[in-house]
Amino acid sequence: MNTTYLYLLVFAILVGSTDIEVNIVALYPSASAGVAMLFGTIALSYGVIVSILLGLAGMKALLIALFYQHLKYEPKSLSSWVLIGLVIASLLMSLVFIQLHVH
Amino acid sequence: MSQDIFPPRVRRWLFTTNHKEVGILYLVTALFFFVAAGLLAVTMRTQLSVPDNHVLTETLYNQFVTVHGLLMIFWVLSPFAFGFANYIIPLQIGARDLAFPRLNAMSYWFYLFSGVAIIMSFIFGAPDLGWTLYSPQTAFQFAPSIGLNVGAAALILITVSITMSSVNFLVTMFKMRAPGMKLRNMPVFPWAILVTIFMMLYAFPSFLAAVLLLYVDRAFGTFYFSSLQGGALLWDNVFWFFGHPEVYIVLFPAIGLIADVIPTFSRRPLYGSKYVIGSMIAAAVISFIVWGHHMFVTGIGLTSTKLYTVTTIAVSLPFDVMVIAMIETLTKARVKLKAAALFALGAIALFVIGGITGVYLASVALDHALRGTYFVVAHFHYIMVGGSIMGLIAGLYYWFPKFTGRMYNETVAKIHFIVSFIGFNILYFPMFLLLDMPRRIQTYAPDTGWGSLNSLATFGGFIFGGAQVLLFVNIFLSQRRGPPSGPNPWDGWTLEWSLPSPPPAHDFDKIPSIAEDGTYHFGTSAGLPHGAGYPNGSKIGDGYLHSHFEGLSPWPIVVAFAAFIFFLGLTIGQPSSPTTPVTFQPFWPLILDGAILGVIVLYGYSREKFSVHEESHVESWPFREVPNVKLGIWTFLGAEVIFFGVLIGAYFFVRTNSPIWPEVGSLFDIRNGFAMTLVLLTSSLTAIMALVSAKVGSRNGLIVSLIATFGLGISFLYIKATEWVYLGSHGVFSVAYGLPATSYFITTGTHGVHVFAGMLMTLYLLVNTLKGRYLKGDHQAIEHFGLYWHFVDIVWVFLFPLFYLI
Repeated sequence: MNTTYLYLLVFAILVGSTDIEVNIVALYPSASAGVAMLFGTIALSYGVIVSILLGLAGMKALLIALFYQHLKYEPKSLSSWVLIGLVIASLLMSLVFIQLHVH
Repeated sequence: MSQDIFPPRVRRWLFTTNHKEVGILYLVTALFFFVAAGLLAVTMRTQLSVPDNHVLTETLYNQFVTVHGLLMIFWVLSPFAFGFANYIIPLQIGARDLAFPRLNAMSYWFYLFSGVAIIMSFIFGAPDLGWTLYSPQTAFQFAPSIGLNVGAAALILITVSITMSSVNFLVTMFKMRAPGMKLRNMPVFPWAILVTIFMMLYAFPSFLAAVLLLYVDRAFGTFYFSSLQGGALLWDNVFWFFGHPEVYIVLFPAIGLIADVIPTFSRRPLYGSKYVIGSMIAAAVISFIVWGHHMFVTGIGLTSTKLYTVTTIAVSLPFDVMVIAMIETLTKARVKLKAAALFALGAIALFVIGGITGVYLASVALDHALRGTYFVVAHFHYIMVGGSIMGLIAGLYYWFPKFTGRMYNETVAKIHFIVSFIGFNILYFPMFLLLDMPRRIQTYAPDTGWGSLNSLATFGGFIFGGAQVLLFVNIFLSQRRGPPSGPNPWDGWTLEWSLPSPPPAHDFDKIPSIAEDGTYHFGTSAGLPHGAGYPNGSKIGDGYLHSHFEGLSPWPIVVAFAAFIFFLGLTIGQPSSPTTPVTFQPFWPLILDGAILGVIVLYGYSREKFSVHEESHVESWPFREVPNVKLGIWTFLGAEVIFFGVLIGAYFFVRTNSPIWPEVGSLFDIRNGFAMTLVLLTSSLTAIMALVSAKVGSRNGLIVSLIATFGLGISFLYIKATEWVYLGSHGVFSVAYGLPATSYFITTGTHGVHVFAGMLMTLYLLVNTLKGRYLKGDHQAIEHFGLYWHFVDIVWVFLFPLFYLI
């Protein structure tokens, strides 16, 4: 695929995902309201919505890193190098989460 | 900028970018701060020598304790090691300099000015809370002195310096090793530095984020550390996430150095050197999951306590391997007891004592009893001074002939060791016995029974401190009058000893080649355990520096100075009212001077014709196909991941701890967030189109893409500013909005600063594009800018849902 088209396609996915993010939240009038109904039938709890939103954010970040920052085309050693920071940041957050919520 | 206004000798030291001279600058400056921190320590010991003593007031004593700790940890131990690393690492791996010489010089000047700032903090009432700066003592109501703000500025500057150095060393060691110098063949000292800077790269951003939050809390009255939901526990987490790896950060260079010294003087290769290196890597990895043992008494929960007990005991095991390897190397060896060897042996002995007493503290029960007592003070001084400083002094004696071309006085050096070793133990061993005396107290009553042990410790302190005079006199006189040392006085086996002492400015006439099994020999080193070919040097490339007066650059020192006065301007303004919780009173003349100077010098810096020669045919696994600058940028972005990770982690921390949080859309308008997200995503597209245009040589396409990126950056900041103004006018800055506003303003504000920096880069690229650059295959700058800009976009991709949607 022509790289310009590829970049435009990635951009379209990024914008589309952002639109989905906003619309998911629009389904959910308030955090205290219990569950939101997707398509009138699927019940989504607040926790699920948060997970979906963060998942979408992660997907968008991955797309930018892979295609705009060209990690997809870089040597694996560089991708692994970049992952180290993410792993360490995740360790920090996970252990703090355990501290706060697991007794 | 004209450099000729200074005499040649001054010019050389102010503007040098040569790694050896920068190394000497680091060493001299670190020794200066060592003396300053030592004087503070001796004064503190004098205060504690007898009960009910009043040499120092409580406030002054607390300031001395704090600044002594900060100086030793940030301005002595690591920079001392970086002095050696700067000088020795390129020589040991067969490189002619570091990957980015100007960045290296800038790192040094940031270090120096940050040290000036921490000393200057005494003028404004120095920090007086202990080096750990525990929250909520740092809150304005408990620490109204603006000296703490100046101290925070100093810590931010030194962190910037360390991050620049980390990036530089990583790229150098991964990408610039001499042919045949595989990673597995690297000596232990470069390995120790590699592991150290890996830890620095990922630990210091956490500290930077912590200090930033601390500063903003104090300066603008935000609530991260003064709230119940954040407070002490939040600070403990982000601080000790940095703080525990920091212990190994200051220790590993000394261990690596000892691992060079001991084989040389015992005439045996290091026993199990690969296991030593593996142990360092293991300890470095584990060091990131042990920080909670500093929090046993904070009520972090049984599960966490058990977890951290296990990891803390586990992290001690790799050190056992290292010590056993050194002992095994010494076993049955005929050790030449030169001063360097003596200090190395002394360091091992003292480190073992410090290490074993540290394992006690992994026990929750013992930690509850001993935490905050002089037992802990003794433990970490046996590690930090006994292990680290003694090891670094071994390095000073070991490489002194290489630095100066002259020998030091061996007899005086041996007396220095004996007196230091005895003084050290008289100073610190009594503290193990003072296990019921709280640390950081200014004085104590006579009936506590602590008087005699304290008197003994103070006596030891004067002996230890006095012994260091011998060191300074010896090196000062010997570098002038010592007998010539020749290139290899110790029959050392590493590459630096193949060069004249001191080495020429360009280091190697020919880049050496290392045999497949990692061996090389040279000079008079008959009887080495291996013998293989060094002389097959690769062809000398053009462009390396022939003299110390080539490759001078005035910009590194000026950039650092601009940052220094900018940060001083941010922090030295006196609060208008002593009761206000906001201490931010900008001293605009300095801020503006710093900002204007900064813009001018960054422009000059980027325009300067400063070429760095990259050798071909060097060892660069595992990044063979990645250019140096790109690897440097990715490494920097790795540190940025931790920095923003901590900011986002802090947000999660306070949010999950808060019983209530504003409903979605009630505080921050989703439409604003949506608009800013679209703008930034579009700017990523235009940034990548700029690269496409540059690659195909389309000048118009490049110009349009860059202008669009710049314009979208402005649009983002405009929407953000409008939102801030709106929120400000509706009182969201006030206490009532507490943590939601605090986390929002700090996180999005920091991101906004990144966007602004990216826009400055865009502007610079645009100017150069108009001059016809980047279109003839030299599009790397556009690509590198894109890496940064897309990263900023990625950060926002997470901030948008976090602040606007959930």
